Amino acid sequence: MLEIKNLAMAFETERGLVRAVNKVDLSVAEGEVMGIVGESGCGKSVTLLNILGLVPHPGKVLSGEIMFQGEDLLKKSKKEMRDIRGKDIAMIFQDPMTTLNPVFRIGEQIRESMRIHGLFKDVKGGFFKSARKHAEKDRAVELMEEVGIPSPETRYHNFPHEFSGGMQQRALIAIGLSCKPKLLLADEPTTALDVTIQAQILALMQKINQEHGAGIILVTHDLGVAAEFCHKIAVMYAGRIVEQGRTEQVMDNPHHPYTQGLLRSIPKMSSKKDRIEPIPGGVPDLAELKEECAFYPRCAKAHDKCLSQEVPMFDAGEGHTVRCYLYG
Amino acid sequence: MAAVEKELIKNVKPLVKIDGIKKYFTKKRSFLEKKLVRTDDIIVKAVDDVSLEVYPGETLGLVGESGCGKSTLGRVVLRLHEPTMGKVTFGGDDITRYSKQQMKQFRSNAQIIFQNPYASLNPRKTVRNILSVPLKSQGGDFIKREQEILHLLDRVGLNKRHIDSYPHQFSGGQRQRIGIARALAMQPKFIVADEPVSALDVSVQAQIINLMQELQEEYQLTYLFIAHDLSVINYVSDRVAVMYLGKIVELATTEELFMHPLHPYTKALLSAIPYVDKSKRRERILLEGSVPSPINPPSGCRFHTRCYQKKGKICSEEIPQLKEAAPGHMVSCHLLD
Amino acid sequence: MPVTKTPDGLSEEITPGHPLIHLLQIKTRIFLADFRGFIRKLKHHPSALIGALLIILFLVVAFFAPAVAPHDPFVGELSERLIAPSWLEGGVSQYILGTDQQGRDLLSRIIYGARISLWVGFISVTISVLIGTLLGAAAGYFRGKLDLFLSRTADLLLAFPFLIFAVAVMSFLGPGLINLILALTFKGWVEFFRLVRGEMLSEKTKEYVEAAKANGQSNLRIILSEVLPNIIHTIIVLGTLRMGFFIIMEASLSFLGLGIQPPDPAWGSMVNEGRQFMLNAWWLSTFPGAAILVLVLSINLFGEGLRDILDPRLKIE
Repeated sequence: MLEIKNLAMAFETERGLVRAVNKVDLSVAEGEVMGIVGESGCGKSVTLLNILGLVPHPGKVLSGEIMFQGEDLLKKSKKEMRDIRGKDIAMIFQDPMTTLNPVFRIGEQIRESMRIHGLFKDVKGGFFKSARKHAEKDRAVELMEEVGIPSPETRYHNFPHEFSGGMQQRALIAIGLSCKPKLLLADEPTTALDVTIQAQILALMQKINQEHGAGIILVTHDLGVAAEFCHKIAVMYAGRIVEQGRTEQVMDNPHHPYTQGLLRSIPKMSSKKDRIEPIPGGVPDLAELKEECAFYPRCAKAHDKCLSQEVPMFDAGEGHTVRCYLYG
Repeated sequence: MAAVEKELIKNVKPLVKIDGIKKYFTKKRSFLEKKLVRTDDIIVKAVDDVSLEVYPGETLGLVGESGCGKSTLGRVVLRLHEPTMGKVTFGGDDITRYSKQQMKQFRSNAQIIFQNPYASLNPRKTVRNILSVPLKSQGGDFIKREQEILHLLDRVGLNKRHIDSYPHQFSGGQRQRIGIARALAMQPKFIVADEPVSALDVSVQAQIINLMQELQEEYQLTYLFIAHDLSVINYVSDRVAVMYLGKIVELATTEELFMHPLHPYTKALLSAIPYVDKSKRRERILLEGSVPSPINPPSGCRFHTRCYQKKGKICSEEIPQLKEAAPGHMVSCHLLD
Repeated sequence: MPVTKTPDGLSEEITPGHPLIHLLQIKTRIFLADFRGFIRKLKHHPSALIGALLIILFLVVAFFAPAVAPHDPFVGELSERLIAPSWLEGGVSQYILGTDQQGRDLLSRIIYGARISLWVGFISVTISVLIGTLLGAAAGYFRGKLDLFLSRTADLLLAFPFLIFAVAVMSFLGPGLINLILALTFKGWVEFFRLVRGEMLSEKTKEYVEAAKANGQSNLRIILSEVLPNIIHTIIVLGTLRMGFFIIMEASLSFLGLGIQPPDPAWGSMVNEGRQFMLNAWWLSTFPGAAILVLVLSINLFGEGLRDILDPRLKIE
């Protein structure tokens, strides 16, 4: 349904081109949950914004195409993208408090997106289009009920600050669902929430995936969340996808030294305390990246070949791909 | 990490003893507001009657969701907040009665590491300036201080050429190392670590955790480790206290707590952790709703509004006491009566 | 704060001599780097640069007034009254901007007037900043009754329009330079008080302040050495902008005859004196007025520019 091919984008800064996304290939089938994991600054959130055509200011798409239902989103006009956003592709952001508008009632904000995309424009009748407003309101209340907001009839008239963090995130999901999108982009939707609330939201998203059949791309830094929730996982490092495959493949049998390192640095939940092994060093400066493997300075298995040229994606079998010479 | 034996605990005196601490924040209404709007002062019960003991050399993990009062408790222990009621003893002395002079002494014994590596360092100061503040209070001349700064930088894994850099020139992990060096400079015995790794990336988080553990061994430090991430708590702690809405609901050794949680809240919390390893995943207990406000906390057991094992009227009427359910395993729940 | 950096992002190594000298070297280097950075940013900000250059011009002229002024500003030839500027009909090359009703050289009087304006502006801003910062920091940091009292006082003072308040104070105290400065600072500190108090309230909750407390630093040290360096740039910006305002106030009061008294050449009183000759000697009011305009404009341009330059969130390159 969605296929990103060879996407590259960069920010133009005074220090030169900062390549935030570099030659990313990604595909999501209908009803599939794709996880993008990586540390901060690896380009995972920017990739999502690219899909929506919402690249922040000094950013520029350098190459590639984003095919959605057979059409290249990068070639669409601003107006066409506005129609797609919120209707065919919806996004859920990390911080619900800043995403919801504090001066409008929750219900109105859910209705807003239906109004923009003319979901009930065929409904006629009544003064001031009251029939349409009623239809929209009914649908909004229905949605609020579906995402698990208790007593939606009264909560419809609440303002965002009257909702707790988890409830705000539910309201955001309701807005996202209002036009029955085919693809849902979720950028760290549970990072701002507590574990017990995170479990609620993830369960809700799972339900949406199963009942609506919407494809989901989940961006997260939490490997546990990705492992439990996603069908496929792409691991990003310094703007590139370094490993991609089905969740079992990537999580149970990680190939790339970075993925292995990430998994080793999570504290294990076991009674006997295996020491965690951090990856030495820190994330590289994106402005100083060259074509070679960006993980080279932190990699225990690095050798000279890694520096010589750009590392291609190698197939490690059954669709499991790795950007590392160890598997070439 | 030297796990503290249960037998030992009985004989060893606690380094820090928190005794019936209450911390209420009051937002006073003015006279006019009271008369006209008829509202009362707002009282936020951030910490409500908490008692804990921290033994020398151990790491006591304090875990709970946001707003449960764990950070407030950490600050009360250091007297960065004055407790509303109760006392904190450090090595037998009640620190809430310390004079200014005694507080100075105490400050060098007990330190804090903060969560946010961006806000916890003064943006207008170089690393040298940041580290020389605690060193100055230790006395010693300029040359000795200089050497000490270089030694500290080396100890927390920073290059000595970083000495004249400003905080904004560092990454999050490096800043946290500076924060640790600042705490270490006072040569403390006891450190409150308030979510020291939750703002960091996974790979860097592991570096900081390992550093803190090395330092603990090297300087025989005692940690009160506050976090919301259960896997981190499980990894670093010898004992764990679980907090909910200003109260301790369960306290046990790490192994005991994670293997045999007794309080329904702890069970739900543990079940909610997402695991990479499939074999570790438990049946998820989904709690209803979210944490109630500490302004008007529920009567009786604070958890009864969300509890899936509610026993009956007693839960909403009587406040459960923290009782020993198994040796060294304290729980506050009516189910166990 | 740009410190000279080597490619690996670390500061350059200085061969260490005696540690104290070493420290001194480093402090100078950081200061120079900061200063260079400031100049570089100023160069990229045209309006601030123009403002700065004009202010420097005014400062130089005012400082070297005896050398720069072609004539004595207090003594005039009555026979050479009301001579037009040199480029006009009836003008003499000797008096570039013409002479006033007492035959004094207008240019010289304006040059000496710059001294008064800058002096009054600078002194009253400095005193206002000192009082406002001190009280604001104390109120914001300690809160409580002190804060309540100071804030209400500030509210009360803010309820009066500045000029009317100053007029009232001046008519009570009587004219004169010192009294003028007193009248301006009497209400002038309030702006700084409110700024510093607000900044203090927001800085106080940051963790670095708590860290300083945990390190056993005294409240005074926390205010002075931890918080103030973080808010000083906003104080400087407001101070610059208020200086322009104070200069206008001084001119207004002098115009009303309440400020600097003749024969002292204050721009405001010069405008007032020239008013009666407006029809046949328009330059008497116009040039002092223009001087006020240009000085205040350049101070404001510079102040607005400073706001951009000193704000770490805004990048000017």
